[in-house]
Amino acid sequence: MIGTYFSLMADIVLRHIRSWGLRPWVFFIIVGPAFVVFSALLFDRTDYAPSLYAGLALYVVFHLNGASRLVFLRNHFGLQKSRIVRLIENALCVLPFLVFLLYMRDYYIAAGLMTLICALVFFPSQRIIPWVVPTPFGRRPYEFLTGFRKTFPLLLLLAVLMYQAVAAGNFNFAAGITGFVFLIMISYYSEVEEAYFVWIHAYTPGRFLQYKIKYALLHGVILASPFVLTCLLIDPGQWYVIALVVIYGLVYLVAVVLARYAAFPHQIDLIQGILLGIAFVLPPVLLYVIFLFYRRSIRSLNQILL
Amino acid sequence: MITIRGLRKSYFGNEVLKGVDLTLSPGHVYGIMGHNGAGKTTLFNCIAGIEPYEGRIESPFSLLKNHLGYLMTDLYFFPMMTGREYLILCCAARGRSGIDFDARNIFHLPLDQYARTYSTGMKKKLALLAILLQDNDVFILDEAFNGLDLQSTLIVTEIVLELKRLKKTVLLSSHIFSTLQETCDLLYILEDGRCQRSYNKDAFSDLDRQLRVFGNEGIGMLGLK
Repeated sequence: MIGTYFSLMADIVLRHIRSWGLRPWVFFIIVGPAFVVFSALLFDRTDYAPSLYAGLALYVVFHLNGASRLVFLRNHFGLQKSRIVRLIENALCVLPFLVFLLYMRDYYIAAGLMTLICALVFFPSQRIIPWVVPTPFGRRPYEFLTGFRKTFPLLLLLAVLMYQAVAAGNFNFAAGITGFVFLIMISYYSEVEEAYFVWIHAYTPGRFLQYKIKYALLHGVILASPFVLTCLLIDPGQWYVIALVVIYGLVYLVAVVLARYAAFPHQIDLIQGILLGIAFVLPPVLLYVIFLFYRRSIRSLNQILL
Repeated sequence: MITIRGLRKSYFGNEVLKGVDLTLSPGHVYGIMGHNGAGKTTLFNCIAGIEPYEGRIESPFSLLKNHLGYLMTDLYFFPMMTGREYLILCCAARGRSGIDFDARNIFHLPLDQYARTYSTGMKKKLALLAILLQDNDVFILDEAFNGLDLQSTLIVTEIVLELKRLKKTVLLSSHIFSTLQETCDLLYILEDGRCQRSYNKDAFSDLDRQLRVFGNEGIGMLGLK
């Protein structure tokens, strides 16, 4: 039964890859080296790479352990077998991270990561917290409101790391954390918006995009502010570095918002993903990408708003 | 009046709607019946403009969707969004603000809890409350009575009748015949991609009898032992 389950899961993964218009072997040829390059760059650029790397691996596992999915596994496999399934799934997810950590001889972090993913098997994650997490984001639109609540533990962790950066007087580390906060904001726009919640708006496509971008920028500034101010507290002389991070982060956020509606009602496709990736590395491309996505967004939204 | 003529919809060559004709007048409640998969939800999505279609839909509004409250059968609620925040989002989308949600919370929903923690019936009531508070002129209620408790079913029935009194246009589907019997002025049967037959209030009891006869014959096919 477990074999059938994993065979089905493999089929589903391959279907996803094919739905992006790629042959699975091409995908693995691209993603494998890309992962190694990304990992090598990360370990080369910062001393905190092993911790960040392990955190990233845990983040992936955490997303795999959604409450409804766990209920499904338990219903169909029973408690014992569902734990075995989860253990195998978690191990498969962190395997690439684990291999690289071992290659970098970060044995303690690797052992810690293994222990944590084994422990996770006994705890259902992503439980809905019964109390409502207050947010500074008003009540519309919803992306920052729900995103902030979903990533609240991660933001708390970043706040703790920021405290350590202040204690060590490490401006670069603090600026890196601020950049990471922008990546978290981008994740708030990673899912396709339900067609119904676009449809209910009595706006023209242009007005709708204006509304979404306005609040993305406003809420982005609010969420980044404490981190930016902390950076300035560490080294006010490097204000221009942090200004660059903020401006680039916000402009990139706008590009992601537009990419979301350019692809609407579908998920961002591979070409759009590659364009966003290029724009991330080559900032001048970002302006062209924004222009392109804006035109496509208007076209996509015309179908549902007009 | 909303006039629908020759509405067609296909998915990958499979024609689900093959030319639906409907006329919907203000102050009337219309029911759509049909088997599972007959195309009721597709028809509603097309009228709402959520899905592209072929054919013609005319209404007195410049853009029908901005005057339409649509209660979908598959409701979606954002994670970690409270009931109150959901209502604010839906009302703000139609330019409505400053509403006293507590005063108008007819279903006594716990508005400050996350909507995803609500039961099936509570979610349905929240979504219904949202479209009612949007002050729409036309309502599409897809499976409005699904998952509701007895008292809520009675309340929703009264709401539909009140909407009728207020000269709103209501189009609804339900698999619970008694609810359609109590609320609708006209029932359309969606079969083979078209609204093949219609029944006015006087003919509802005949339709009920026909459905029961077919149901009893159908159970025999199971060969239960």
